[in-house]
Amino acid sequence: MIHSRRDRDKLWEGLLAERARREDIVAHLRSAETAEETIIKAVRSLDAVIQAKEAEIAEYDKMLTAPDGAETWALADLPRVFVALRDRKRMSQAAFGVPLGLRGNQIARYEKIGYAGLSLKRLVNMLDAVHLEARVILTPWTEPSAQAVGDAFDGAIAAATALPVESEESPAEEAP
Amino acid sequence: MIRFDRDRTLAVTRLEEIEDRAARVYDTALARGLDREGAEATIAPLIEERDQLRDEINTYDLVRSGHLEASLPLEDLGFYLTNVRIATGVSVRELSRRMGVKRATIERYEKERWSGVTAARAARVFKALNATAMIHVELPAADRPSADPLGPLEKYR
Repeated sequence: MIHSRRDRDKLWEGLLAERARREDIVAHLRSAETAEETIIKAVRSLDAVIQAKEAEIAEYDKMLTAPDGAETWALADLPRVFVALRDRKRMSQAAFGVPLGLRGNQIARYEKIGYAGLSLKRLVNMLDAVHLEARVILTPWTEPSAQAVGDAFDGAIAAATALPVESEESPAEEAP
Repeated sequence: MIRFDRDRTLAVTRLEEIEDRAARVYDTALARGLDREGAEATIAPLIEERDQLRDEINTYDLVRSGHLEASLPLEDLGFYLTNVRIATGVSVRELSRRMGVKRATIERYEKERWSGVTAARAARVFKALNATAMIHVELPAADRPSADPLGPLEKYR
């Protein structure tokens, strides 16, 4: 489990070493005449380890950035902004916790779960405490979901096909 | 805060009652020999109540017809969630059906201005209303030293 940048970098180094080892084994396999079952198994298990580490690193990296890489966060992802903030400020967990009234180990616990579970009220208070200004930008509700767009589209097609061809020329004002 | 068409109807009725009463009190005051100023003073609290109700009704009508702010501070989010529901013409019952929760739960959330829900849940409410809320946050610029002890982090990306 990655709790800090240091953890991440350690994991990354391990990952590099394992990738190198895998390369070596594969090179060895290529030069050898016959592929030994045990070696193939070893590569497979190494692959699993590499993949798990890659996934873990990717998961941590995801916490440090808004999904689009900018400063706009999906509402559901917003709590993770505290992980990103501490990363940007390069503060220790203990120091970061001071304005929030949290101890270092509490910050560690929160980071583990990406600050999930905070109520909106608490979230607003915490953002305030670390002087982050958050504004809601609503994707207009008039922009319907894909499903609704589909429905509306079907409806529009039904309406269009129901109309006589001349209707295009008849001004709308004359409609009752 | 008016949250339903039914509440609005009640508010309009109450508004009419207040206006009637204010008129009666005003006339009585004049009949008792008070001057205009004095009569106006007697009905001042009623007028205040009337104006407040009018504001509430006007706000509701505005929201009901789909007028919503495009951007607002996060602390108003809960208030806003209810407005999005009103603007989309979704009833509390319908929203609770879409969310798969009891109607009373939505009622309580709205009364509490959604303050107790998590961001994830609030996002699900927006989704249930066919809306999406993004949050703009000004983070300090990334402060990465050029010595680059985080090479792997950058390279990985």
